[in-house]
Amino acid sequence: MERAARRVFTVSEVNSQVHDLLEASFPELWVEGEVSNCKTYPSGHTYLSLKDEKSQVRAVLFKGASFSLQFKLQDGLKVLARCRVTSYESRGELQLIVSAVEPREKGALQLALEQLKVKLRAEGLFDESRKKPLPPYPRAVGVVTSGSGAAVRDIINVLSRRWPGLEIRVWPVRVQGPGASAEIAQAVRDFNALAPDTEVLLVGRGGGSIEDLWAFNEEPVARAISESLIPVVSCVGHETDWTIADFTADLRAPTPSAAAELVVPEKAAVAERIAELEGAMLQGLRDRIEALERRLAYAAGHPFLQDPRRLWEQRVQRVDELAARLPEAMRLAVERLAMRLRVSAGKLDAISPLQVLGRGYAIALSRGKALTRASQVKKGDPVTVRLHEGSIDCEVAK
Amino acid sequence: MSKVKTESFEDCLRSLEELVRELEAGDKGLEDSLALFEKGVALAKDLSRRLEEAKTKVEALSKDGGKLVKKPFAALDEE
Repeated sequence: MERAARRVFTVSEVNSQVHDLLEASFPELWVEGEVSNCKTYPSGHTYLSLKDEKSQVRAVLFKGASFSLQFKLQDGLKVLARCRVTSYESRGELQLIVSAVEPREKGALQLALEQLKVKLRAEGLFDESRKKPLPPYPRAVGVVTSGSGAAVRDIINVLSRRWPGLEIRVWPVRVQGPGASAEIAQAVRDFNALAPDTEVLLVGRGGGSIEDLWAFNEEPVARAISESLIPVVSCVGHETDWTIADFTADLRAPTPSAAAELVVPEKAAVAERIAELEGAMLQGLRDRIEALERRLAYAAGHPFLQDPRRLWEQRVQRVDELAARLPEAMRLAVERLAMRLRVSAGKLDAISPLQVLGRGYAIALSRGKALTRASQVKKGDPVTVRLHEGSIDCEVAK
Repeated sequence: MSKVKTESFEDCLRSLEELVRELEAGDKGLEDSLALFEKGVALAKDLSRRLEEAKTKVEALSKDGGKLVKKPFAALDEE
């Protein structure tokens, strides 16, 4: 009897009954807790614990439910989880099945944004070194934005006003709501694949609430922009709105109109530059010609070249001048000779025998010859005695 | 835009700038300087003409079976 009174359960029966009881007893409820031991399996399901200061409970977020989550569950995150209380029968463990999660401390969007930012920054998608320069004078500009609204009109207006002659290629996309980010990303990829001669892309939209701008904070857009070979200028919302697209773009413009101003030069400024170059060229040529003229003038300015007669005149004058100087030169030459003669004559005087006669000596001459020996004459020979002044004719007496 | 493949505006402008620099360097003979000048004037004229004659073209792009389709663009909310 005692035995019959006992009701024996199998483990499975217990677990099953507890499971049913739990499921029947608890309505869907919101649990507040901190995420820990969080792990996503290849299946896409995420297993985690929710804990507070005193205790913890296992929980699972199935793949289907995780799709609606805008951010990623991470250890340490304080959350509000909407869940069913149940048990994992094969282990007999209490378990929460989570259908929705809200971050406790900040908005889900904000959190998602921060998480994506951290992830993409770590991958280097925001690196300055990745940023491509914009073409200075583009011919074809691509625009990825809504086909309606102020943004596309502003862009077209500013582009055509500043830099006429552009080919503006608009790829109309949805810029908000589900699927918008995929469309934007695809349009950026299509530009690269199908219209690669587009030289710069403007990707953006006009202002709106943060939710409206959200597509530009999503990963597909960030990836497409960073992979684009065509430089991308982002222009999302207003001055103060910064989206992930802005961080990955090669250049961020505060608004669509500003983006249009950034990608093309202004016609007037370029025309001015051309005029300036023309002026510089003209001046350059003028300088060149002046320099050559100066050289020519210098060479041509020489008197002989300027008037060849001068060369002849010079020669004639020189002849005249020389001719005029000739008599004088002759006179001088003669004088010099006369002087030399006088000097020589003086010297001659000194040794002349006539000088000796002056002192009382006489020369005896016979037949014109000076007698130096008595034997040169005989008695009765005529002898002439030459005195200083005059001479005496004599006869040898003995 | 003509279909004839001409030198880009940027390349033309760069040529002009280069030419002005050469001319300003002043180490060319008169014939060379004149030739540069003539070339430069032609370039400047061409650039100005491109600026003046340029007409903006706005197209809407879309895809049809993986192929690019170009149509004149009209804002969806106009008229």
